[in-house]
Amino acid sequence: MLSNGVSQKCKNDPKEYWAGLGFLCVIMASSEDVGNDDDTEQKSTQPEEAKKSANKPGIATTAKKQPPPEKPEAVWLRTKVILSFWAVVVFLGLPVWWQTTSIYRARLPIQQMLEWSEGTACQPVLPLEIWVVSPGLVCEDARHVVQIAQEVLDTMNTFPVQPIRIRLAKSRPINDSKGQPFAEDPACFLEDYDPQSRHPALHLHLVPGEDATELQLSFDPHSARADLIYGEVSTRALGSGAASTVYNIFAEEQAGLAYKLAAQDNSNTAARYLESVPEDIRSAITARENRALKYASTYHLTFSLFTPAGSPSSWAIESALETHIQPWTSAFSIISNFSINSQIQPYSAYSPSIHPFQDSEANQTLLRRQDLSAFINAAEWPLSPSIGADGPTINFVLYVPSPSEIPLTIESSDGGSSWLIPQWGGVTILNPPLHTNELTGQPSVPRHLDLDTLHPAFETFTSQLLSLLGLPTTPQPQMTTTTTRRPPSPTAPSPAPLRLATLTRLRTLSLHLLTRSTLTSLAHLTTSLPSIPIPHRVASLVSASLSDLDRTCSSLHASRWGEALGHATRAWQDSEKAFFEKSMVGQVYFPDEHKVAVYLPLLGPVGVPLLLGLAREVARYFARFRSWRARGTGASG
Amino acid sequence: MTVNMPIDRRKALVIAAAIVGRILVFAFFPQLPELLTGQVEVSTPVTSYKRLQEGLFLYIRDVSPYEGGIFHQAPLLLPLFSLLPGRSSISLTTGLLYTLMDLANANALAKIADSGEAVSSRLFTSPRKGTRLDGAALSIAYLFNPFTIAGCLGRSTSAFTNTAIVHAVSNAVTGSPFRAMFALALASYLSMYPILLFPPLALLCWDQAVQKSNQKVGGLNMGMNLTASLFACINGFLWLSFMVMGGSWEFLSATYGFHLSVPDLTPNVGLWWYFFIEIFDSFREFFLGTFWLQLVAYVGGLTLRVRRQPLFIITTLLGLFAIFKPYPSISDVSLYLAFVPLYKHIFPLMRYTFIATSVMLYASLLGPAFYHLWIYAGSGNANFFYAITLVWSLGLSMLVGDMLFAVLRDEWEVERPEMKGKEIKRI
Repeated sequence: MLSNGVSQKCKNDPKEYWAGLGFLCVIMASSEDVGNDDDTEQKSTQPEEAKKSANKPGIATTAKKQPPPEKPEAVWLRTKVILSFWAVVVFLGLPVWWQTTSIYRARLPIQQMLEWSEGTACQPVLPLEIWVVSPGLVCEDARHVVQIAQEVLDTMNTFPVQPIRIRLAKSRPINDSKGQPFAEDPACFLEDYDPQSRHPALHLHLVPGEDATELQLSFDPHSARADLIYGEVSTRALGSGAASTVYNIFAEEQAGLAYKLAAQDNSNTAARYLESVPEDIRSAITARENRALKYASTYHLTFSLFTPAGSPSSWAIESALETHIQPWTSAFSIISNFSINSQIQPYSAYSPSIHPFQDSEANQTLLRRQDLSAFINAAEWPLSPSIGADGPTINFVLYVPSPSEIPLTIESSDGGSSWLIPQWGGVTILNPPLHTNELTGQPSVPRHLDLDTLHPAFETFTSQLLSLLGLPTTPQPQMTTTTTRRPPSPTAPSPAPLRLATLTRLRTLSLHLLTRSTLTSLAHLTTSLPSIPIPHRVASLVSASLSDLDRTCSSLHASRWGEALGHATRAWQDSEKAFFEKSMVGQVYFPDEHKVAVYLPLLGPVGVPLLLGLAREVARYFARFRSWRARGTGASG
Repeated sequence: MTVNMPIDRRKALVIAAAIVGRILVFAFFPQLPELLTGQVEVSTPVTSYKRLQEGLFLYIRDVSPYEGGIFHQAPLLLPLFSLLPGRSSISLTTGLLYTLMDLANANALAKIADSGEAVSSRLFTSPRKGTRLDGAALSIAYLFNPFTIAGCLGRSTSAFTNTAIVHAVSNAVTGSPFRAMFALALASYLSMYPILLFPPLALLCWDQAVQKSNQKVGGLNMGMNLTASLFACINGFLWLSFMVMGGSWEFLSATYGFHLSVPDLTPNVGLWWYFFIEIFDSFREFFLGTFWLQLVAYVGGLTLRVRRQPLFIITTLLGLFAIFKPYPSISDVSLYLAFVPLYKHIFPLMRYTFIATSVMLYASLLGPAFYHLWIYAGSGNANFFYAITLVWSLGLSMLVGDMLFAVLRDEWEVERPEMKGKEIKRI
C-alpha cells in the first residue's frame, strides 16, 4: 500500500512530520506547502542538487521550473486555518488558563493578627475577686480588715496579670454553730455587686472562734468557699492574715499562669515573676505541665483489663466508673467532655521482655523499676493511640497478674503497684485475693472483680486522671510566705471547685496564647509566601477567631471564666482550622521555577507550531504590504 | 441487478454469519463476554456494562442510580435496560440488542458507502473514485473487525453512541438533515463529545440540500434550523431524563460533570489517566481545560481546511476523538475504522500504512499482556501499560495524519494534474 517508490528524501519526511506528533496542526499548517513544490524534475535530478538549485536559482545550471504562484484562495484558507487555531487559544484557552491558575487570595486582617503578638491589642488580665463576708464583725472593723488585707495583698502580689481585689460582700444568711443567723449591718457594703456579672474566685468567711489562738483555715469541699476562723486578734493581724491566706491559695495558680506566659508568649514580666517563685513550686508546675495532655474539647477514656490467664473475665466496671470517675468527668464538663469505654482482654500478658523476680522473703513478685516503661505490651494489646481525630485517648490499664505472680508489686516502693505514663495514661496492677479452685486445688483468681476489689485501683485511676488533665493541687501546705505570722495552712488540698476554676483559667490563658501564636504564624506565612492561595474559608475562620480572641479577653477582664473558656476554645479551634487548611498548604512547596517544568511540555509541542504559523502569516502580510507600498510609490513616481 | 444478485447473496451470507457468530458466542460461551466486560480496553468508567448494571440495580429499587459514584452514564439507558427481560449479567436478550445495533450500524455504513459521498462530494470529486468499495464490503469490514466484535461482546454502552453517530452521518448523507440532527443529539446526550461533530455534519447536510434542490438554499437559514433542531432534541432528551430521574438534575453533574472533570483515573487506552495521576493538584484544572481545548481545537481547523469533503472531516475527528478523549476505548477505534475503508481510493497515496498497521497490531496484542503483568502478575508497573497506550495512540495518530495527508494530496492532484504519481516534498 506504500506510495510507489519511496525515495531517499521521502524517508526523511517522517522525522519532520512527526516531530510534533499528535498535534496535527503541524500538518494542517504545513500541508499547504505541498502544492508549492518546485521539484518537478525530481526523478531525474539528485535531491541535493535540487536543493542547491532551489536555494540559488541564479547559479543553477539547468533551468528550473518555478512553482506556480499560490492561489489567493489557498493563501486565504491557510490564514483561516491558522486563525481558527488561534481563536481557540485566545477565546477559550486564555480564559481557561486565567481561571484555573489564578490564585485566590482572600484578604486577611494581617494588621489585626500581628497586633496580638505585638501586644498592642488587648492583653489578658485575669483579675480575681475575693468576697469577704464577716458576719462576726461590726461594720467599721470589717471595712478596716478588708482595707488592711487589700494593702498587704498589693505589696505581696507582684504578678500584674492577676490582680486580686478583696471586697466586702453581702453574705447569704449563714448560721452560726447555734443555728442563729449572724447579725449583719445592712449599711456596711461599700459597693453593690451583681453576682451575675462577676464570679468571685473565693468567698472568704471570717468566722470568729472562741477557742482559736491563731488563724485557722478550712475549706468547704463543695463550693469555692473558705472559712477563716480567728480568735482574739487585732483587725490588722486579721487583715494581713486574710491577705496571706488568699495569696497562698492563688500563688501556685499565678506561678502556673506565669509559666504559660513565659513559655508561650516570651513575656519578660512573667519570666521575671517566675524567677521569684520558689524552686519547688516551679518544678512542680513543670512536672504537672509535662504530665498533662494537651487541651482538647473531648477526651476519650479507655479502661482496659488485661490478664495473662482466662480469669477474671468480668469486672464491676460500670459501678466503679459511676462511683469514681463520673463525678469527676461531670465536674470537668465545664472544661472538656469525656467519652468512656472499657474492654477486657484475657490471655494478654505483659511484654515478653519483662522479667519480674521473686522476693522469697516477703513472698511476692517484684517488677524492676527500669522495666516499667516497657510494661505495656504495645504489640499485642489493642490500645487505641492517644492521638485521635476527634480528641486524644487516655488509657487506663488494669493488670491482674497470674496466680503464681500474685502479689506483684514494684521493687522498693513499699508495695506500690501503679504508675503514670505522662500524656498517655496510667497503669495499675491489681492483686486480687486468691481463692482455691475446688477442682484443681490450685489457688486461682476470682472470675469476677467486684466493686470492693476494684476500689483501690480506681482511686489510683482517679488521681492519675486528674494529673493527666493537669488539675492543680493548690495550695501546697509547705508553701513559704513573707508574712511575719505563719499563715494558716489547710490540711488537705483545696476543694475541687477551686481547683477546677484555677484549671479553667490556666486553660483559657494557654488557649488564648496558642491562638495568638497560631494567628501570628499564619500572618507571617501568608505574607512571606505570596504564591499560596488563601481560600475564603480561611479568611472567615481568621476573623471569627479574632473576634473570639477579643471576646475572650473581655470575658477575662470581667472575670467570667466559663464564658472566657468557651470563647478561647472556639478561637483556638478556628485558628487551627485556618492554619491547617489543606488547599492552602498544597502549593507551599511549589516554587515558581517548577512552573516552567509544567508549562514547557505544553508550550513546546503546541506552542511552537502555533507561533511559527502565526509568525509566517504576519511576515507574509508585511511583505505584501511593503510590496504594495513600493508599487504605490512607483506608480506615483 | 440480476447480475449482481449472486454476489449480493454471498455477501448477505457473510453478514448473516457475523450476526450468528455473535449470538452463538453470547449463547454458548458466556465466559468470553464476561471476560471482555472487565477489560479496561473495552470498558471505561463512562461506558462499562458492569457499572450500568450497578446503576440499574439502584434504579429498579427506586434509589438514585448516581448514589455511590459508580454509575456515570446517561439516565435514559436505565429504562431501556430495565425493560429487557432477563437482567442477569449474561443475558441473551442484551446480547441480541448489541448484535442488532451492530447490524444497524453495518446497514447505515453500507448506505453511506453506496451514496458515494466519500469519493465525490458537492465540491470535490476524487480522480480515483473508481476504486471505491461498495456498501456490502464496508459492512463486512465493520462486522468482522475484531475491535467491533470485542466492543459488542463487552457490551460497552459506547455502542449506543456509535450507533447514533453512524446514523447521524448516514441520514445526513442520504439527505434527511433533521433525522441526522436527532441522531447527533442522541449521541451528544449519551456521551457529550459528539457535539463537536456538529459543524462538519451541518456542512454535509447543507451540501446534500444544495445538491438535491434546484433553487438556492440559504446557508445561514439552514444553519440556524439545524442548530435549533439539534438543541431542541438535546433539551428534549434532557427533559425526558429529568422526568425519568424523578425530577432531579443530579444526573447532569454525575454524567457530563464526570466527563469534564475526569475524577476516575482507572487505566484505559487513552492518554489522560496517567497524566492526571502524575500532575500536581494545583495544575489539574488548568490541564483539564488544556486537554479538552486540544480536542476542541481540531474542529475549526479541519472544517476549514477539508471543507470540500465534510465526510472526511467527520472521519478524521472520530479518529482524533478515539485518541484524545478522556475515556477512550477500542469501540471508539472500531467506529473510526468503520469509516476508514470509505477512503480506499486514497490508500495508495498513504505512506505509513504498514508502520501504522503494525504499531496498532503490536499495541493491541501487548496491551492486555502488559495490563495483566501490572495488575494481576505484579511483575510490571503502571509504566508498562502506559507505554503501550502511548504506542497505541502513536499508531492511531499516524493513521489519522497519514490519511489527512493522502486526502490533501488527492485534492491537490486535481489542481495540479501534471503532478500525479510523482514524489513531492514539503518546502
